[in-house]
Amino acid sequence: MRRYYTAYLFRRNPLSIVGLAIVVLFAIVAFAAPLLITHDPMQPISGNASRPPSAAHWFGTDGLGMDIYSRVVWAARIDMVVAFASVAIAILIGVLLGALSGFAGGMTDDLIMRALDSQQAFPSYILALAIVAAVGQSIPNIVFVVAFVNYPIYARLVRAQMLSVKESQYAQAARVLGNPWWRMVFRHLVPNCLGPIYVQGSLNAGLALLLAASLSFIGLGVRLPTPEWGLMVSQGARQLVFGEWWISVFPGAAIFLAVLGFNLLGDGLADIFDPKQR
Amino acid sequence: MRVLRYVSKRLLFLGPVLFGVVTVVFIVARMLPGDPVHLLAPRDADAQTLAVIRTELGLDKPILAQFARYLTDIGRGEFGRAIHTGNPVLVDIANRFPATLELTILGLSLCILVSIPLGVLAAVRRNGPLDHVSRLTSLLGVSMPSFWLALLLIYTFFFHLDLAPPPLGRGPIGFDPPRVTGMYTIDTLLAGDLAGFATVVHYLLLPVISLALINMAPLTRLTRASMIEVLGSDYVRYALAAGVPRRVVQFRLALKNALLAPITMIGILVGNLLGGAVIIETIFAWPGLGLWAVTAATQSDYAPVQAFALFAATTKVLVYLLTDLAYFAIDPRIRY
Repeated sequence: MRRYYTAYLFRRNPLSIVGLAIVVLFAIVAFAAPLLITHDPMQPISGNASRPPSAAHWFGTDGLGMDIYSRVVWAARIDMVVAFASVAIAILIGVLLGALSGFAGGMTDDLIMRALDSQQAFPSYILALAIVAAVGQSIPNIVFVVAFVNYPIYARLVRAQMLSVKESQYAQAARVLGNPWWRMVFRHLVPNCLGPIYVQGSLNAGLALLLAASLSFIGLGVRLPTPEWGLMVSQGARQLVFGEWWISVFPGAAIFLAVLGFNLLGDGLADIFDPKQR
Repeated sequence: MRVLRYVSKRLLFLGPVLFGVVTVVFIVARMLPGDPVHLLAPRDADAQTLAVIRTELGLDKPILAQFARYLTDIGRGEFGRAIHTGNPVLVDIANRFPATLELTILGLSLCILVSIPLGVLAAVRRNGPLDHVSRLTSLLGVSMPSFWLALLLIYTFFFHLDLAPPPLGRGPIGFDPPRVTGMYTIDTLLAGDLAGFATVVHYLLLPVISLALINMAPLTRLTRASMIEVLGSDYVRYALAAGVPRRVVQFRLALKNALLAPITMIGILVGNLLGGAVIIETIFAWPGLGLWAVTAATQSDYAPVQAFALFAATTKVLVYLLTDLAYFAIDPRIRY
């Protein structure tokens, strides 16, 4: 019953199907990257720099002579993993802190909420920039920084849910039965706080991808020769002025499409999980 | 009286948030895997220099003493020195802020001037061609990486159409209008230099359009949604039923209420404007605060990054406060 209903809603919002298809496509590209590439994505081919798209190099080559098609494909592994991993970590931290904050109340709640306030006082991109500049740029660091900048949204969502859920009758029943607080919170209450998290997760994955790519673009993310879309766009930025458009355009289009996919999917999920927005 | 009490209450809350902001910056700066001295010292400094810097900065003291010292430094306006320019941080900020201010004010103004009418018209002619176009572009706009959009604009309008200058800052090399405000549009006009003014506008064109475009999608979307909601409300239907002309209802009665939500959104956009400016300034070699912070960040020159983050957060907090106050002034239904 519930499944048919979901399918019906997906049909009502056909764009969310397009979003799902795009995300799945990028996931497949990431998994199948070794089969899809035509050249070594990190190996410059000498005497072959800045060539326009051709039969041999479908998306052309960059300033170092690396095949852009293969790099765009390979970068899906890095960008999609950064997006998924950072959202997963953000959800983990956010759910833990939010649940704790909402369940404990009092001083703990105040302390956590004021910490979130202070953190969210920063424009997220600038906070990310400042942290990366401090901890140093590596892929794991980028993942953690993007997660760190995004977790307050989840913490607030879960806290709000927790405040109402903890007053429910089944919560009282669980308490009366003698469950320790941690089992109550994580076994019985948290699972009922997760609804809005899924929607936010999908919308946030696109933002996370954009944030990570923007960090790489200004030179504070992934380093050469690792293929990453934001970095690849920045590689071509100077050559674009001389008309060599392909170096920046293809990886930029990949970011655009992937983010579009996450956003469309998120809109569709919002329709399903949040009837108020319909 | 009520207003005064509200304002003072909000100002009182400002203190703890700003304290939190400073604490976050302090913690981030101490999160370094290595020694903060290495970030503040030149890369090739020897052990003796490092030790001198360490005592100078009080880094040999316990962490709370360091924090207290950090607070007093900030209170005294001491933010350290930017290694890559050699100037005290505050001097650099004063020099470079006008460039950023000019860019962001114009970018945001353009954004508002286009988004709000577009959102309103799309709502008034719902499901018309303009509505479809605005919805499609908003959808694509939120997914578009800002740096990619700016590059596509440069490629089209500089390389192909030759309508815009190269992305090389605020003017041709050596162009330097007599400084009064530091904002070139105003300074050239004050000097009566119309040719100079034209040059300034020419160089502002693409950065301003880029900044406006990246902020347009959310504002258009929200304006449209807000206007649609108001147009469907009972008082609008009543006014129509009572025979008030449609135009008057739409643009006099409905519009006023429909603009409340977009005001909040504009506040949010202004609060985050410096984040967008970082990217646009990097692409257009715009000598503002964003480019300054990025250059510092990529060269492990941490004092400017700290100061910039503090500056951005303080701006955002103050702008949010002003937005709330504006709301209070505009909407008589709000009682605190």
